[in-house]
Amino acid sequence: MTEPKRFFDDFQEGERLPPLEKRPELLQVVKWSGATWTFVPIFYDRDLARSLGLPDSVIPGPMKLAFLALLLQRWAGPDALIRSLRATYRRPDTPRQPIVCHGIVTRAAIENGHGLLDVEVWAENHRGERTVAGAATVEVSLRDSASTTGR
Amino acid sequence: MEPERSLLTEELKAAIGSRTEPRTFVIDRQIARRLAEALDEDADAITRGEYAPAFYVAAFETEMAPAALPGLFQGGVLAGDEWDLLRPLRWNEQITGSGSVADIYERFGGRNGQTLYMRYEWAFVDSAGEPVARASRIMARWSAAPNEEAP
Repeated sequence: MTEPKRFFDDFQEGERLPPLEKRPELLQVVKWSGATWTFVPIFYDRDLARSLGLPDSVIPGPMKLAFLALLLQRWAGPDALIRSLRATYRRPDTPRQPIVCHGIVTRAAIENGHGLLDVEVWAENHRGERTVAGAATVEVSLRDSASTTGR
Repeated sequence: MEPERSLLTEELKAAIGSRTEPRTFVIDRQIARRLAEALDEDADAITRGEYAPAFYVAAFETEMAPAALPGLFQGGVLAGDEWDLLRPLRWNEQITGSGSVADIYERFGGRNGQTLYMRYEWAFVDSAGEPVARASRIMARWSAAPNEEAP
């Protein structure tokens, strides 16, 4: 069933986004490396990663950023435009472990005729530690207005 | 306690402001399909619309690698990413990116001790020369396990 489209006034400051859980396997990381054509050995070589003091091979940071982008797009809807997304990678995540993405709306404002939502985003590991922390700005359509997100 | 010596060598300072040659690429559905599969998402749904998904910016990573990392950063880790999308990206459109080393700085006394950071910035334009996206990336270099947050 398709969710009804949400407009700017359907969102509120303090709103929590439905969490998104991913549990990437090593094979997915290898696929990611191939798709982005970035082959960093600690992403797929467990022995090397452990020799460097890591608990296992690690999930690429941009892949976790992509999870956060999915979190935002699912919540705001397909017509929303993620205008900015920034994150710092605080701790390594490893394959087969859950990565749970969260977000909370920190500000909702109309600027120059655009409905903008600022969102604090983060990802947690299975111990509840924040492994990624960041912020995003999402543009959504205004109701009863010619304003669109361009999508 | 022995005072820490700066790791900001003349070679590193000279790298600030260095630019790489512009690189041109195409927003490609097949790449998006591969990214979607890596993320365990529905590739058909992801590539059905008129525009590329927000996480497609991760595919720019291939185009983002600095031509020559200053010596100490070979073996560094990715500490953070920032993206700004100025408009949605259309399938098959041609994008050109140009990048530069925006800054190299160091921090003393973090959890992992003395750390060097390099901030790399990219600007992307469409075939008409109009800006479509900006990105920046922070690489970090420290001696301990990658467990540090970028400032």
